[in-house]
Amino acid sequence: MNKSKVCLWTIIFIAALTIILVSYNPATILDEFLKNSHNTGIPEIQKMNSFKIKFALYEPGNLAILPNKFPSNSNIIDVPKVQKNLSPKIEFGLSKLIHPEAFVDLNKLRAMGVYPAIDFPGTAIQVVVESVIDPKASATGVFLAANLVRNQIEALGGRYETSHENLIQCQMPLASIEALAQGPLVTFIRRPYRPKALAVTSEGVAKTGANKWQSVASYRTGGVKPKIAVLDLGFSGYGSKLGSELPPSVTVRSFRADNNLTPNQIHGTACAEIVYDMCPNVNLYLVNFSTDVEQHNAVNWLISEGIQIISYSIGWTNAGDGRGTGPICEDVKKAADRGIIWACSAGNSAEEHWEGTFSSADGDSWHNYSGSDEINSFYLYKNHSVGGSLNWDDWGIWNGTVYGGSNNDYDFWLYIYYSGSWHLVDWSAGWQTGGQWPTEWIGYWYANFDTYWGFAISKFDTTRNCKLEIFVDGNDSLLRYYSLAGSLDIPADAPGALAVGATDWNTDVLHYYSSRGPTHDGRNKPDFSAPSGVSTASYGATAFYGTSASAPHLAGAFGLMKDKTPYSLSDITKILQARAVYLGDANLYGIGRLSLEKK
Amino acid sequence: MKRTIGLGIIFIGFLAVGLIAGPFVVLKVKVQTANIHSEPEISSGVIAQVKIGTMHESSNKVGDFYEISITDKDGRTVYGFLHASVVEVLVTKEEKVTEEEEKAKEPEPKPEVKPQRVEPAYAGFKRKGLGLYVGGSSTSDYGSGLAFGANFYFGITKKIGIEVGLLRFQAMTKDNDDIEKISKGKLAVIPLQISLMARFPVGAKIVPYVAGGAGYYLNKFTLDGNLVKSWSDLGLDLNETIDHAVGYHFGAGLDYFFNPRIAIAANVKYCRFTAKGSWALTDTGTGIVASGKLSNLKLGAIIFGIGMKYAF
Repeated sequence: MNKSKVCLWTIIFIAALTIILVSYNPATILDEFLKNSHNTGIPEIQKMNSFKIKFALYEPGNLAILPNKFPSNSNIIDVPKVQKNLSPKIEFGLSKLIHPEAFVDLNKLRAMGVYPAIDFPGTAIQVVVESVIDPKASATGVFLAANLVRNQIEALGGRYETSHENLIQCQMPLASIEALAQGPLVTFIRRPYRPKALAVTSEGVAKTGANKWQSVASYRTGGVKPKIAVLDLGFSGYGSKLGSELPPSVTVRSFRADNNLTPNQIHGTACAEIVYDMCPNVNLYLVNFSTDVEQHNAVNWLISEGIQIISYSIGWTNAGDGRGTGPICEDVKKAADRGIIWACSAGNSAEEHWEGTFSSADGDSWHNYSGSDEINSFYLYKNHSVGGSLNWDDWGIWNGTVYGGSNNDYDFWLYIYYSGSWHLVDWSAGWQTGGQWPTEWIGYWYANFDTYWGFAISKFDTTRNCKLEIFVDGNDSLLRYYSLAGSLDIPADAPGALAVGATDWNTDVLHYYSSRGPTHDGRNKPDFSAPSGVSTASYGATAFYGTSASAPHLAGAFGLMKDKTPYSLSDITKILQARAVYLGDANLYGIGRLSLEKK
Repeated sequence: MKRTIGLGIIFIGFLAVGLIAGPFVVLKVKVQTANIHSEPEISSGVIAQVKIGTMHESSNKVGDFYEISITDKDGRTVYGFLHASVVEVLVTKEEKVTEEEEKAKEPEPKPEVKPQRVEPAYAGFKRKGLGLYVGGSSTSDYGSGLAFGANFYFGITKKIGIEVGLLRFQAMTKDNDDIEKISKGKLAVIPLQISLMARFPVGAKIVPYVAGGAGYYLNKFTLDGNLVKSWSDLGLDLNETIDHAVGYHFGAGLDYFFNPRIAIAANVKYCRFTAKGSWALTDTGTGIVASGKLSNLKLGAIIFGIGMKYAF
């Protein structure tokens, strides 16, 4: 073989090798896979696929793939004029609905292919009126004051739905909200806080050893079935599963204003299936709600029913200071004070969470996430909705009913990357003048094209640089700048809640999305980790992933041990803690993976 | 099984001894008036007198005295002793009395006093005796099992007696989740009982009776091995104990004396006692104990037995 042939073959070999290496670049594979997969089915299936992909490829070490794909220039130069809402007694998002023309240029956004994911209401909207009523005052005083507010609501054309202490939930004409806000007994009007059902994404089978317990006869329990409530958003399809996937009979109750137990939501049914799988001899309650006020009433009712264990695969953002206080955590406290076990999903927000102290090195009032980067971006497939929440560490003192409130005012901005530059979509700029919560919330929007979105934070009037926290809502986004630590949903931070992280049923590896501790006051969380991934009738042969699947395993484990033994729930807590399989960092796995087997 | 065979051998041996045991004589008073002493001693008190020519049966001779029983003017059975010098031993019961001898006796002079009715002095009327029983028990709540025991009785009168007994019975308790009951296992009970007996003799051989009294019940409970293992496999130690208890009993029986000293005895007895106990479930990993008291274990058993009585 002469030299020219050797050179030729060498060149061919190197070229072939280069092609192979390029074609096997992980980023290329991911990119192609995502492009091919996100157009293939209904949104829920896309969601599940994307979780699998992220789990398979976004292992530590591969995370470096994505940042290169973020837009490089995210310095905000077109600072918009900050438009505050007119009344500090009205939530900013509500003000936008009352006067949409003042805040959002819908025509411009529609021209870009960007749309609000929620409909602007017609003439009326569900709101929560916060009043000056002190729930600790005399019952007569509370009753009279509540009736005064209720009369005012009805006089302005509103329709009362339900109430809890100082909160009145009602349907209110948009045009009357500002008039209602002027009432002396009204302190704030907002849309209801709404929880989110935590995600269903993959497959797996529990391996807690519960089957061995199920085979022994109960000892000294008197044959009393443990009362477990699945507190969730909806139980669609539960009726067809009675006697097979669920007990032959269950107690149901809806606390929604429309009394709809099955509002096109099977999440609660799947959770109930897991509880029943773990604890077949159970007195099961299926209870749903949709707002914070409804949850308060639901929890009061569960307590009155003598519920022993609550399975809660629900998460909230902007509903508390992350230190275990606030109205949602107060429900947990109320239950825990009565000895009720509150098995709570930790959240699926590990990579959808960022926190850091406000910093603007260039002095333009915009927070710099890193260097000159003022937008924390993430990739989103077309037609996937997105929202986000911002809060900061200026809640004031929680007195059991209300926070002291914030006088540091930050605002929150949503951008979309379109035609090579960032464009403002929406913002939330509520007042923080001393009594309001340190929160802003934007949602929901979607685009008819795949692109990047991003959140920016500006300061309006502050006395110090506060510690900020962002959660992305409504999709499985990976933030460019994310903070794994402290990514717990509320009320997983509540001291009375047993927060549950998600581990792979087969490998015991923590799922990437599983929210992590510590809490904002430095406590380790979650308390346990548990398998995520039990095939359920609700989700078919594919799997139920997320901390939503983990929490009912823990609730069911408590129920099973309560059904089989005379141990108190507090003793069962200690026994389960001792039996948990140690996996590592307490702020990832809690004390360990749930196990009922002896060590 | 070995225990059962052993008890059977003891039972058969006791029966054989009974069949060959005991002198039995017919006495004829040969003096005008003979004293009946309260004890087999000449210095003991005279409790009655019998006339010449009267005949009495005796199955017990103590020294020079024969023990007999007569019915006094009030109809009560009186036990006492006749000295051998005042009676003539005519015949033992086992001896065959020929027709000639019977005829030879016919010319015997009639007693001058009206003959008193002679009660046969069978063992059932004796002052003391020993019984052995074997049988079964059927507990109302906890299943059935083997029972056996022994007793010592003392006859105060012909119809009234006192019995002290020691039993043992056991029951295989059932599996249940009733927090007021014992778990699955074996309950062994040894009652130490004292009874008052009321006897109603029918002729000389058949003595039915009723009895009732109180007892102290020694209890030992052993949990079912499989039950213990099933919890042990889950990392939990299971323990239960039943305390000793005081109880009561009542029942009825029937003695058949085929020999003045030996009777076949059958009885049925209902025992009832309320016991206390305790249970504990211990997690071996943490040492956390769930425990409780069993304060009102109403335990009842019907015990039936058949055995032998020996009077002495």
